[in-house]
Amino acid sequence: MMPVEKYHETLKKFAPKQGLILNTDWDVVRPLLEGLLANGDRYGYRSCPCRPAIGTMEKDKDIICPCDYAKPDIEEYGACYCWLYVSQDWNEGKTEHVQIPERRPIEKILDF
Amino acid sequence: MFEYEVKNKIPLLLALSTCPRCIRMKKFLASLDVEVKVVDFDKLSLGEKKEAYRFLQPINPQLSFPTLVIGDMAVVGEDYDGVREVLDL
Repeated sequence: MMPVEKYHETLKKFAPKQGLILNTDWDVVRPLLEGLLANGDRYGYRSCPCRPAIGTMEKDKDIICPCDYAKPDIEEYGACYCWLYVSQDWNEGKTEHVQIPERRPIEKILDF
Repeated sequence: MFEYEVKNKIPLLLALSTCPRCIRMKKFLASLDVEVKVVDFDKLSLGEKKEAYRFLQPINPQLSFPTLVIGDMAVVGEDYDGVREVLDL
């Protein structure tokens, strides 16, 4: 498995290019990156560590990180579902760190 | 599925092995002196996943993890106060 620090460096470079801001809290980020790497190893793609993947790209593509729901969740709540990507205000402690409700439609979760 | 745990009110944690919230909840539950059945949903077979969702959906319609089930009560997410309350601690 890729070392978590190396993966972090890669994401730090790519996040701005995708219009995303990484959470600066390493205690939050580290286990998320470990989960993403573990999913990459078992599924072949890095799906959201906080959501159950089915294991086929076709069914899981909307939850491959960054997921399809990240940007609307960051806009509405200040963070994506798992808190990996956040708003600037979230990183600066200007917004409450809330649990993000699941935006993924139930039909997609149950479609396998 | 999970009839034994529900009937006997054995705390049942439905979790994901990769999810930090679930990992923290597992550690919290391990620190309490109670018997807990932990199930990593992502490690179940597809058939077991379908069955587990049928169990979970009426309890937590968001189908999110972690979910702790104790008898007819449930605590969704990383709600440690909620866990203490349902475990009467």
